Amino acid sequence: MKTISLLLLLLLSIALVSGAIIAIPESPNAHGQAHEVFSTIHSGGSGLERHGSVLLFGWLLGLLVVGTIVTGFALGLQRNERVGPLRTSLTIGAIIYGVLFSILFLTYFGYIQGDDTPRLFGFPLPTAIMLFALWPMPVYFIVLYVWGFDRYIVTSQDLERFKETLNRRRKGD
Amino acid sequence: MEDNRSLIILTCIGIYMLFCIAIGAWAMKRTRSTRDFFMAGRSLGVFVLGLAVFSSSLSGFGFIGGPGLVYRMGMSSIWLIVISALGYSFSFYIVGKRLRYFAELFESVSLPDLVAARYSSETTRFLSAIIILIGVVGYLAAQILAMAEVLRDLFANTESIGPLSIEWCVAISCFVLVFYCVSGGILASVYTDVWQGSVMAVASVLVFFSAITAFEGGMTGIATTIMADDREAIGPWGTLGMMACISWIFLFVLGNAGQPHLVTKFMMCRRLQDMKHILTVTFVGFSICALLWISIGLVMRALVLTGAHPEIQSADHAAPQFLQFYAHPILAGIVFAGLFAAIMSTADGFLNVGTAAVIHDIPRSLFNKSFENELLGARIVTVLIAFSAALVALYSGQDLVALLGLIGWGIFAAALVPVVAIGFNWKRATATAANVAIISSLLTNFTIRIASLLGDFTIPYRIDPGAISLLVSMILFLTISFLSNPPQLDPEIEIAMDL
Repeated sequence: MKTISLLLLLLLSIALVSGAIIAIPESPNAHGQAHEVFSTIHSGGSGLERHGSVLLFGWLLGLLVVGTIVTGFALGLQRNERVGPLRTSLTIGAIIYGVLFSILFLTYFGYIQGDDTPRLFGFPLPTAIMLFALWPMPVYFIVLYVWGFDRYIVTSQDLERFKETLNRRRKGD
Repeated sequence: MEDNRSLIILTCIGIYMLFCIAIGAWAMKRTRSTRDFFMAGRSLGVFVLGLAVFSSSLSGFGFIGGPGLVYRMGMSSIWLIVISALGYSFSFYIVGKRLRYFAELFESVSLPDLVAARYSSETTRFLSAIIILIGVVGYLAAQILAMAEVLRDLFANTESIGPLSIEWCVAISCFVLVFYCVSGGILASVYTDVWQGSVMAVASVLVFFSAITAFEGGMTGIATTIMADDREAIGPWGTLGMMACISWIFLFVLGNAGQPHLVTKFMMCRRLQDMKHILTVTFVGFSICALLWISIGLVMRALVLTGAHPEIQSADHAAPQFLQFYAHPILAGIVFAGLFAAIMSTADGFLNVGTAAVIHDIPRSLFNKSFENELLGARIVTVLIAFSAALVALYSGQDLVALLGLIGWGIFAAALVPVVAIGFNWKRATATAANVAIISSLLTNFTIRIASLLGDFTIPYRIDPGAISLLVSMILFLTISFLSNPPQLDPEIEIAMDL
């Protein structure tokens, strides 16, 4: 499937899943509630109550968003409608990101059930995954960009061809 | 020293502003043409551009609004930081090299210039210029108001100087901003960004360590305290909830590539090959500055919850209160200078792209010609835009300023991500699709935001209206292009898109 068609498919899927989520009635604390004591602080209340019925949809939506982002990366790398040699590395990145996102959801499912979750620097496991795994994850894509730039993204042949085009255009002017 | 806290802070801000003025004066000598004024002669290197990209994306929101959101909602707004590197990567992957190729090939001085070349359409140029202008005035007004309010509070707390009216505070803030933007154009803007980015980074590191030592037990103690009060607040979605956070991921990662004050900087790069290092510098710079955003919000929440600090008046006071009570006066001074740096570095980028839209793109799209003395015109228009934004900030009411500031990102994302990020990588994209996407971005953003302001309407689960607008405009753009006949492209555009 072409990258651009995949992008449209993902966007339509996001619209569909978002529509399904919106159709599910919200719990009163779906987006937080006033804190019992402090007026400037919000509290979340019961995670099970507000996220229990939409957890699966949220996970699906998250994966679709990750897919859309990485498809966007691929679109930027395309030449003559082909992603080229970085395609595999991008797919691996998307899978790792998707797996980390799924682990976050899985551990969050345990967390909202009131499990005695392991903690890292005081943060519960799903938050620790967000902070210490998902946050640094883009380094993978940055390293890929830096490493692949001269090899595949802007090669010396590209620069040569661009220079020729530029010269032709300037002479034409 | 404690007695003179406000005076010390004002002195730090004064020194910072003098540096900005000096940079403006230096850049004036190097700005001789429109290309210098808008594109810095396409001569910027890795370090300068890397710092400029991150500092212009981290506005005053990162120093005041961001910590305030963490204080109020717990971990929710930390997603904005967690995904920021992904957002920058997205922009570099999808538009980095493409905009640089187009800019050099077509000698462009603005984003609408490139859009006009890509779609061979003056209508698309006009619409994109209008979108940029609307977003710029709104954003600028919000930034100017933020600067003036901080300055007014500081003067009010300084006995030796006394209170100053909001009008005077707007005038002082605007004077410095306008001086360096008028004198040195984008060159002054990016070099002040380097200075501003450095101030922000130093301030953020110092505040982070100051914050984690302000609470017994450090970060572990802070997290444990918040968790004991409300498990969801320290859970990955914070109090705002999962769907809102996921909609932010969608909006802020993809939307990054539609922010004109950021992506225009790609066009100024000296060498295409530098692009890979610029991304690295941007990532490191933003990550350092994010420390302030996270730490102040969490520590203030924990301090208030334990009663160690009285409840603050509003969430936006989290950072100022922390600096007042828990930071050394000189550190507070550096951070406030960092705050002004954050606001100005965003504002100057907007001022520059807004000026290009008015002086270059709108006349070209309407009359097919440019002003005779574009450089002089650009300087005059810079003053006029800043003046208009100051008037909006002062007299349109805070609600309107907040609304305009709020929807700026969403409008830019929904209008420019399809047109620029997708359209410059897909030959089938048509001008009609681009025009529809731009108009749709305005309609959906304004309709949803105004409906929620006027009535009781909110999107379920607080899904961000900007995300919905972006989704709609992207789907419209792709569908209309797919259903249209493929456009005939100029051979040079084909080459620039094939490389």
